[in-house]
Amino acid sequence: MKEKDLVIDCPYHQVILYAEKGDGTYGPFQTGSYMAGVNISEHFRITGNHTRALLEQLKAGIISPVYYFMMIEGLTADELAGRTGISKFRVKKHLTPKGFSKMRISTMKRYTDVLNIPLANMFQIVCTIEDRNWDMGYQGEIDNSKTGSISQEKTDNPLVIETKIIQNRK
Amino acid sequence: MSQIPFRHIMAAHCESGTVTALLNHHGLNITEPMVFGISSGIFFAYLKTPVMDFPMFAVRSMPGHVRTKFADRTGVKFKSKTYRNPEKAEKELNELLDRNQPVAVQVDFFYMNYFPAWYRIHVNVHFVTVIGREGDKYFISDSYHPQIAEVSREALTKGRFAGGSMAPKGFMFYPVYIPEKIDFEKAIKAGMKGATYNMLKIPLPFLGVKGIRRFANRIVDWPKYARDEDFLAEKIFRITIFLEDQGTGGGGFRFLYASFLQEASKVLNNPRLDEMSKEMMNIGDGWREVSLASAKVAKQRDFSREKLTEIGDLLRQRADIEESFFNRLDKELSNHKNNI
Repeated sequence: MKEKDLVIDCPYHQVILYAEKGDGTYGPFQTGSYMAGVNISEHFRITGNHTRALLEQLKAGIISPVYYFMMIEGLTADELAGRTGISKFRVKKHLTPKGFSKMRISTMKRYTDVLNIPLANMFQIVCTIEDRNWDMGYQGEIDNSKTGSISQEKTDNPLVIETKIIQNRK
Repeated sequence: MSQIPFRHIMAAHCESGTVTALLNHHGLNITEPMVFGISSGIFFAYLKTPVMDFPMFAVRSMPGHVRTKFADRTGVKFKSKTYRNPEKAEKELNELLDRNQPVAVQVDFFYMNYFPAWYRIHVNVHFVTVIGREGDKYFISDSYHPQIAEVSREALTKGRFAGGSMAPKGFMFYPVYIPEKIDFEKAIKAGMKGATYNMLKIPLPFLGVKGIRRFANRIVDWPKYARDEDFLAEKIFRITIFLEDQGTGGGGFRFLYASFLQEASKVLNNPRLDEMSKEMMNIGDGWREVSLASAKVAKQRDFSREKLTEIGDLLRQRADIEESFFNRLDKELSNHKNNI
């Protein structure tokens, strides 16, 4: 493949590819990522749909928060078991709302350490901007120039509430 | 202390890039394709075990093999170590950095948070070079990042001690001995021999050329493993990512291997290898066709048996061509040996 045929315009994600140079030699050159340059919007659409579907299931009490975060982080039950040191059998139990409700806080802490979230987020869905269902662990910066208020609402899942940080429009 | 003077270079692949950069730092003038070729990095494996939710494939040798095979074949010695205790691992890393020794470490890619969140996934076999520290942060030379990056002490520790499959266990390495004169002819031939063995002779049906054929035959079954259309589209698009984007140098490492063959032809003074490097470049172009066909199927959401069979047919062609190529490379090696 010639270098010019591999060029992708994507300044925010660069990769090294090997290709034929103008003088016929082969070597490395830096260009944009194919994934980021061509498919990123589709990737965001798919992951966004998936996250929203999981949130609905969580609010309805169909899945447990452990299952939700495991899926968001792209882990499998086997992988989560390996990373937390909790047996696969117990992990599979904790993926259900019933198993989650019987879990000890110390066990839950082992999950939150691996899933990179505060323990409190196992019991709440944090929506940081009005009408935008961000995922629960979202920790983006909030525009401090606008005033805001926090509200909490029950969901159909008795163990999970929805925390909303609502920014007032100026 | 702060940063050790270190020439940061981006590379196609994290392991071959890390090994190359460390060797360059210690005065050995060598390129990434040469490191990759000598270590027989080119490979293929198609994997689906009962514990795997979805099939996966690999286009390179096992993580860690680039370093170990390169060392075996060149006489370079690396000091390597794993740890149970994160504090001890951090202390020894700091001591090495304080002695101006850049150190390669194995990490879970997810914790390298100088990359955007959408790009980071949990993969325990990413290699980076730590080239300094200051307060609570470390300076990182990562082959996939355009500049020297910074990562917090907490993130680096989490990355080095993530659990799960292929857990890094604090693994680190750095070169401690580089022979004054390396027999590159011998190392290159051993690397090629290893590649032909990996691609043609491992007696397992999912490795090497046989693995490509298995992939070709099994891709039509992928819809049955998928929970929904979005999931399947993402998995099929991952074929493109694995071949083109995820540290392969394009064409599933075949472009990188073509560069190796071109360099090798000069070292071995064998023009036939230069011709074979062009063939390997064409083989890479064929893998790119697989990538583009997969991206198209994923985008158009046409997961019919017919469309997947088309990708399978392209893969089967790759298998046939690579079988022929590596058989001829094997013969070329025998001829070269006889001509010496």
